[in-house]
Amino acid sequence: MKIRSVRIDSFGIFKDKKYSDISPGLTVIYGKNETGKTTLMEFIRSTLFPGKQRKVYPAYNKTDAGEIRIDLDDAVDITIVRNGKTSVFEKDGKQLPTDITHIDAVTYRSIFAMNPDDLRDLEIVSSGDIKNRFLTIPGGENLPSVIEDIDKESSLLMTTTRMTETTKIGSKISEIERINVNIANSTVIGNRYSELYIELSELEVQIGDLKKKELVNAELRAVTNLRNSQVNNITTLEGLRETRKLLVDSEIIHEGDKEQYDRLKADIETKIEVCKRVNSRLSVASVPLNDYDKDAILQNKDRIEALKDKIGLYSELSNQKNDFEMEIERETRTLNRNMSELGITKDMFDGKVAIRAPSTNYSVKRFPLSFTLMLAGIVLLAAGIFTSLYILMIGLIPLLSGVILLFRNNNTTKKVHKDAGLVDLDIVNLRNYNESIDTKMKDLEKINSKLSEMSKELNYVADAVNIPRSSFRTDIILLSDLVSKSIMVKKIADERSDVNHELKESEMNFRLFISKFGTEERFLILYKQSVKRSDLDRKIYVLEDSIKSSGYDMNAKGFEEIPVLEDVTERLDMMNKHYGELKSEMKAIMDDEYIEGLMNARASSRSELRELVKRWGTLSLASAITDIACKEIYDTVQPDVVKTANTYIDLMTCGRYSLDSDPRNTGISVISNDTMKTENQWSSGLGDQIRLSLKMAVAKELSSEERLPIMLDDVLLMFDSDRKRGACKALLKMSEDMQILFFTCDRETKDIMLDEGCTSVLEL
Amino acid sequence: MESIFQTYVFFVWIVDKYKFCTFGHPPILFICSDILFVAMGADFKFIHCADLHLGSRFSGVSQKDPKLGKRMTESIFSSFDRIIDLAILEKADLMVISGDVFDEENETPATRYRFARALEKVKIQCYISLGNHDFKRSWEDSIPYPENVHIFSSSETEKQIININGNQIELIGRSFESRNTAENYASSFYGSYDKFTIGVLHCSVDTPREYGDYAPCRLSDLLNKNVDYWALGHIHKRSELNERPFVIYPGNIQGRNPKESGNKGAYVVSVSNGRVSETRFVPTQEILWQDIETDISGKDMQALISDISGKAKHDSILSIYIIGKGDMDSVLRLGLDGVIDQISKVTGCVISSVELSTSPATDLSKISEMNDLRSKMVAVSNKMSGLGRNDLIDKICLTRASAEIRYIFESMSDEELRSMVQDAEMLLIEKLTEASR
Repeated sequence: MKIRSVRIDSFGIFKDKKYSDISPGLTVIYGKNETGKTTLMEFIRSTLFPGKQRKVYPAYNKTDAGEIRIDLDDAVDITIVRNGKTSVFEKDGKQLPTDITHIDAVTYRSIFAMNPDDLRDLEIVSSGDIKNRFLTIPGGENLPSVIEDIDKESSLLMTTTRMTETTKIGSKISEIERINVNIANSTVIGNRYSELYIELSELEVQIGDLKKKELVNAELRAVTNLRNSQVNNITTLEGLRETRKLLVDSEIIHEGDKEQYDRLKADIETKIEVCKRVNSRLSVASVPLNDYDKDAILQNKDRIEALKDKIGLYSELSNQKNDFEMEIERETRTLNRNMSELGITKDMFDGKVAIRAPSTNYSVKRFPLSFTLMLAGIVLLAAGIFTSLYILMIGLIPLLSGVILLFRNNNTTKKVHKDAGLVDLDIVNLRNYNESIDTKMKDLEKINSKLSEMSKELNYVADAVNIPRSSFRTDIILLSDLVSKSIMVKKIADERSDVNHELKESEMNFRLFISKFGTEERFLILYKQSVKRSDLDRKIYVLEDSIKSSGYDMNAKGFEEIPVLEDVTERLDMMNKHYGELKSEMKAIMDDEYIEGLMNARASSRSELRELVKRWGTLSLASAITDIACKEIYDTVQPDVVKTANTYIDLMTCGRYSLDSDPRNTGISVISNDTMKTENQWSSGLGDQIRLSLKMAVAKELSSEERLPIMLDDVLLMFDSDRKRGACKALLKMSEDMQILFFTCDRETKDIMLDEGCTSVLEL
Repeated sequence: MESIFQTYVFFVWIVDKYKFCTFGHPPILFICSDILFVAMGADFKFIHCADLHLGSRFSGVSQKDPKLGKRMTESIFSSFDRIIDLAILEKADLMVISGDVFDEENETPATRYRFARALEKVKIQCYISLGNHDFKRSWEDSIPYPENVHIFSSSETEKQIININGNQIELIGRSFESRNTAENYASSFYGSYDKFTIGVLHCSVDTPREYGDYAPCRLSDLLNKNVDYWALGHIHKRSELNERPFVIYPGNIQGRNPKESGNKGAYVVSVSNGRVSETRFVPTQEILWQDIETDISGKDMQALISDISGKAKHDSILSIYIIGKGDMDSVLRLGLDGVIDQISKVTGCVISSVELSTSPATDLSKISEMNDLRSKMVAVSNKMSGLGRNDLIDKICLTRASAEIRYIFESMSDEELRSMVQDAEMLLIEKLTEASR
């Protein structure tokens, strides 16, 4: 794209100006100050790339008008018409599309159409898209930020110069060192275990010694205690032995003798006692017999006993006698009455007269009375029936009396009413009856004789014994009693004589026994002495035995020396306590969790340190890889822009400088004699040269599709002559590819341009 | 017959001792000796373990949770207790421990006490060669070992002969005197021909010098020494270096960091007729450090987590390596902590680390073909991965301050260092790509 002509109808100070036949290569537009160089440049750039620009000179106006005729690279020419603030194509009146050039107004102004101020602004090329596109190595666009990231992370892990605690690795190392110190301190405690062990072993020996000593002491103490405990026994024993010595060894009375003595003595006493008791019993028993003939009693003992047996018989006989007497009397009376009733006389009875019939008046006499009464009663009853009840009642009395009377005489009546023929029979009966009375009389006589015999016997005995008389029975009982008492007295008397005999025998035995020892007194003295001796002997034996069984040797020598015992108990206690302390301290070391924890912490920290170091190593390696890769790529692969720029810089600086295209650089820097200079190290002239070269190279690359015309407004003013010449060479070289409109007020520059082969100069 | 045999034994011993006419090769007679000794050998069983590191702490997993920390520390004791139980169960006749019973910096009286009590419980004879971590012998007097324990001398190679079931068994051992020793202890180990011999030693076999001086020796030093079983310790990864004689590193008894993954435990060695008839490794670890590799290619979050939880064993500590290409790459890189939490919740396991070796769906190879900065970076990182470990550490530790942490990088494995390079590469690519979007 090349500007062929420019026509300005109205813009700034220009009115109806036309510049045609502009060279497609480099055109120097020369004019002194205030001749309109800047106005012309501004017209062109604001027409080609209209935009809302501030601080432009001259300021835009609605009346701005003109046109630029352009030849495009493909031999098409177009006319851009300026109409106020806008530019349109001549053909269809449409606005100039920016996408033809892919460049916006700002970029165009800062790279393609520069005044000195625009030149010094490198921002557009040193950052963002343009840098990435043209100034960096492919794939290395983000390398600076990557490097920054790596450096940042790396410096957080570890600084380059020295290890500090502010970094992660440094702090981890310090942490490990601190743990190591702690472990070392704790290990000292562990080493103390050995010291403790030695101390403990020594203590064990000491304790063992002390225990032995204590054992010896205990033995000695035991012997001493034994002896002390036996001292009393020994003293007593010796005293007893002395006493024993004094005792004469006289005749020994054995216990058996003493027992026999006691037995005999007791025997005598017992028997005396028995004698006394028998005597008293005898005197008591003799009392009831005092009034009687004792001998007679015993002499008649058999008789009395026989009498005693007859007591029953006697009383039975007495009773029989009475009964018989009564029966005889009654029967005699009855016989007599019957005989009189029957009219039987004695003679009749005896058979001397004939028997006659008995009279019956006895019954008749009574019979009319009862009938009379009964009749009277009936009469009265009958009367009563008809008269009154009282009479009836009165009539009952004689009636009843008559009945009773009648009834009472019935038996008699019967007898009376016996057959008269029976009178003979009655007599027979009476005779029989009389005979029985006679029999009974005879029996009575027998009884009486027996009774009198008995009484006679009793009288005899009673007289002999001389008892007061009473009844047969009482007397015999008394006699019998006397007999039994006499027998008893006799028995007791016999007993007494036996007892007396025995007593005498015992006394004889006793005297016989004592005779062996002389007198009884001597026996007793001897016995006392014997007892005392045996008592002493026993006591001595017991003591000797006790002393012997206590384990104390009475014959042992030297026991009198009591050793002075050291009291080890207290020391032993202290040592045992210390022993316990040592043990527990050792156990504490054994159970020390703290050091275990520290070791764990150290291991953990070491693992972490290793990870951190590994990460740092990785980052360090990444840096190393980046360095090597960049160095290599720097030498081989360079962006075209850098190459182009370097061509221009080389021309401008006469080969002194070249661009440093290291992709690691964030800004733009140059190298001269292996020394890198970053932007802030450039002089203003060098800076302008580099910037110009760089921007021209970028401009060339940017307009690779449609080469845009370049306009430079006195950008070489700050250059010295050599640099101006170099710049002119570079611009001329560049104009081979792109149209350049070089505005200048500097004659020297114009001349150098012409001198270097510029053919087109436009003077305003 | 017996005298002939003894003469033979003596002869072979002389030949071996002074390497007469062997020119460094094993005497030919050895072959016969093996055959001869078969008839007179012992029958017994022993337990071989090493590198207990009792009291040691876990690394590579945060122990902020005190319970977890305690469980981890306790797990090493649990594993040793299991070994003791194993010895009792197997009715082992003796036990050899090839060093590093304790971590010197974590040894406390309590640790030693527990170890002593465990040995008391096992009752059988225990032979210990001290290693570079337990050479200090702290609290030896105050917490003595029970009588069934023998510690090999640190001043000279020591032989012990014990009688098991009427057969004499020979044990040769030597303890470390200091943290490091350049002396080849193994070279002074010579067994007797007429006895079954166990060499108990803490040493590094065929290990480059840069890994430190821990009684270094070559495998060839261990062969033809009339030692039937080399019970070694020091290397925490279980390995069987040779058979007849057996040269075995049982590894440590409990993994303590992501590097010590897989089963950990002890060897039960059966000897019959004077020859090792069986070497059996028995895992005893309390906590399993499990490596899980998973590929994100074609997976979404759910598929990824279910894949991991399917592989995870209960109650283990997981080191997860995520590889592959896919969209999950950016998801993981942006919110890894959340993903870790979720995996931990689903599996019920502690996650010690998650290594991301994933790449975005966009192919790195494509990037490398693009001839831009990123491709350059990929090329540089590839070149860097090929560097030696010291050069690589130099590249990392450029600053003055980093000298203080250089030792941490030096303690890292080559894989770890390389994975850091990859991480760095991914970090750059991610950030550049992310920014350009």
